[in-house]
Amino acid sequence: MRKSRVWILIFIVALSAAFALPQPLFVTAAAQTPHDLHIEQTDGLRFVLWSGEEGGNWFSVKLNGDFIMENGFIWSADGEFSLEITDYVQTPGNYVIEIAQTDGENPITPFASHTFSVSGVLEAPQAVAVDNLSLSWDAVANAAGYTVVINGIAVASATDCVFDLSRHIVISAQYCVAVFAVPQNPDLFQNSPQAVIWYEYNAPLAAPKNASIVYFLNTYLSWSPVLCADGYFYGKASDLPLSITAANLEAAFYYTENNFADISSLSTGGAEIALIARRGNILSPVTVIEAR
Amino acid sequence: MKRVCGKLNRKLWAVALFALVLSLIFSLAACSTDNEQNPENYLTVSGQITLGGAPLANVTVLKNGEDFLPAVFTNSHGIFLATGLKNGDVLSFIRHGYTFSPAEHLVLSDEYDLRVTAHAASGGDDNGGGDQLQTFSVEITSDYPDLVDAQGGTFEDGTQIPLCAREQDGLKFLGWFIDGELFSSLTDCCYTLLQNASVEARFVEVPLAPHLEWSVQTLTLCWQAVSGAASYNIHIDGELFAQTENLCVSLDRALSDGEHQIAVEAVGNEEFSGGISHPAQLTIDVKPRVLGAKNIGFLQNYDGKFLIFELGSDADGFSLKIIKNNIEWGADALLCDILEYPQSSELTLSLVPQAAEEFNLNLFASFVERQENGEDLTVVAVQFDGLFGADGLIAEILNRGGTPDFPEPLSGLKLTGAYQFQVTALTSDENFRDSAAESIEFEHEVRLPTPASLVFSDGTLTFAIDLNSIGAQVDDLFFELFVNNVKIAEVSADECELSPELQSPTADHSLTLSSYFSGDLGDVTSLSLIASAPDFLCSLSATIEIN
Repeated sequence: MRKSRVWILIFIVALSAAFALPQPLFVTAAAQTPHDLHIEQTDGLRFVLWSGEEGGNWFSVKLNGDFIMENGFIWSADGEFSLEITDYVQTPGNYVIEIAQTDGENPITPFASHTFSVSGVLEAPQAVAVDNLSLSWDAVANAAGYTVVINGIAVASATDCVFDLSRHIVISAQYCVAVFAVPQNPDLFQNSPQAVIWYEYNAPLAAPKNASIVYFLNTYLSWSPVLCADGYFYGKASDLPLSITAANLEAAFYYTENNFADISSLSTGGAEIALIARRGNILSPVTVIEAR
Repeated sequence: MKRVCGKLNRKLWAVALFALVLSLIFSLAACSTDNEQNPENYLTVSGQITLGGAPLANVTVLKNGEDFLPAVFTNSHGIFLATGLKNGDVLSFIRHGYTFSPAEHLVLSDEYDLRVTAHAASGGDDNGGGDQLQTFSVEITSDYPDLVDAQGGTFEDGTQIPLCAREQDGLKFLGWFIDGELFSSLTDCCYTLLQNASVEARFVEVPLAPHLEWSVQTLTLCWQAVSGAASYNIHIDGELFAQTENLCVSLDRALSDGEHQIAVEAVGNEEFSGGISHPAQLTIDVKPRVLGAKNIGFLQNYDGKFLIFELGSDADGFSLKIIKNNIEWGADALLCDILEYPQSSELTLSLVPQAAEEFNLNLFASFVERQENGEDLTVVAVQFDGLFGADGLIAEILNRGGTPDFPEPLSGLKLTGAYQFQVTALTSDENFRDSAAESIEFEHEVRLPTPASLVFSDGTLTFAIDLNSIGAQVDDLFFELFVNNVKIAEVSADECELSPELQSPTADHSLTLSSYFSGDLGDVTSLSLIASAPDFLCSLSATIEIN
């Protein structure tokens, strides 16, 4: 073997040994554990920022114990580093971020850690509906309960997704009914936006009372007046439309604004007579009178 | 001598003839007993008991060691006759101080000449042949001597002592007790005196029998409370129909038309140990009813409110009752006293039980005639809208509350609620009775007056309410409070400082909004009030807009 080749071989072996040696052989006296870790939020983006060794541009970063960057290069001219973590902290919650300087392959400092919280806004309740004075909505994740607001007045807190409006809605009117979710952990979540529904309440009409059919010179059907009724439909119960609406009753029944009717021409033949009070399209329950 | 003999012969013939007749009578009696009273061929034994050849009277004959009923004993001729015997029965003979031979006689067939010899026992009296009879004393006692008819005293051995007692209302006969032991439970019996005896007639106190009152028309049986009675047993035709603590029972559904026997017994309380009184009894005749009121209903038109019903031709009139809770007004009216429509007659319904005139209800009635299916009907209309309202008859009556003659039953009366109208067809025909009652309910609702004069200033809402306008006392009044049409609270009248002297249209009542509303007053755009109370319809809402 020529002498020059021997020297080349010795150089290669020495170089290999040098790489295999422990890191401290490469750590300069200025290597610093990352410090002053903090989170900043700019234009909807979240960054973790820290201070470190000037020129020490290789880092490993863990979030909640999982590497989000391993031996990554972050350039900085003045030893102030930052890393955008927006995509990793979309979910509101508590997070621990850990950062260590590396030599491009292995950490050369201990991991420095920082704990921070990410808060959010609860989602607005969906599928808000009112049925027969029962307000209902879909449950919202992370909600501890809900607040019901009627016409700007917060009337109640609910833990279920249903609320009985009859305790508060009595007067016939149009109502602005809103519901918003309240978080379990106010540090992590804010109240949801209000889900609003407009609801027109028409107080029901009472069924006609004291109704009877009598003969006195003629055959009369009479009853006690129903408060707030515009008029009354009456006819044979067997002629009641399947769908009892004001429009259907107008077609199938007789109508009067009095609280009595001469039914001499209505051949009852022992049939049952149905009587319904109306106010606009609002109908009372049906009162059935047996024709004697 | 011949005449003497002739006379003697005639006497002998007469004695023989008498003996023949006597034997014929005995034979006939025996035949009669066999044929009529002994259908199973009972046996008869007769005979004579003698003492030293002389007849011995007052010997008691026993069957199988027990008294015959009625008792059998020898007459003054020493003769006895025992009937109703069966093959195998044993006759024995007993009289204090004597023994008999044979001591017993086994009955195997009819016998008519049984000879029994008596012997004086040691220490016994020998009354045969006119010897001195032994005597015993009997004492009759009772807590109720007036109810006992029996004589004590000293009697010959074997004397039959008749014992008679009678019961009276409140006292039941328990029995005759001889020397403390029950001798007989029959009020009337006889005791054969064989030794000195103490006889006591015992009675037990029971409640008095109820005094019954029977209503032919309603078939209702009533009675006044009996002291010491815990309940009453009612029997119909001998069968227990009911046991009740009430003092009236309707037998309408229990009795068919026709005659029935009704009895009521008072069942004693602990004081009487549950003893039952003598029954109070009635014989009743249930007659068929006339047809009841038909097509009963209401007519409400421009002319007023009417109760309408139809009576058949067999009704002479009607009975009308208006009932609210347990308060009842009623009147009977004859059709001939009612005017035909369009005229009308006043109909006065009296409070039951009757009270002063001002507590009556005065209504108006008229009638029209009609025919239906060939049947003549009288249609009666009773106008009753004068009953209700702030100036109605009921409100007037209630306004008299607190006056000295205000009837106690009316104190709980409320103007609102359901009134029952009950109609019965009346008849004067003796062969019929009034119809069953038909009834219909009228619900009278009263709406509370709307709060008025609402003013909102410095967080306080003031308002007025005129409760006098409805003519009824309102208990437990409260107000529903609304902010922006949203009900936020129910405020009791007390909280509004409502008091009787404040219940006038001019008085102001106030409530502080912050007591019921924790929100921002700046969000308040309107305030509303609705008056509410149990048994009343709530008022309409009164609203004030807030700038």
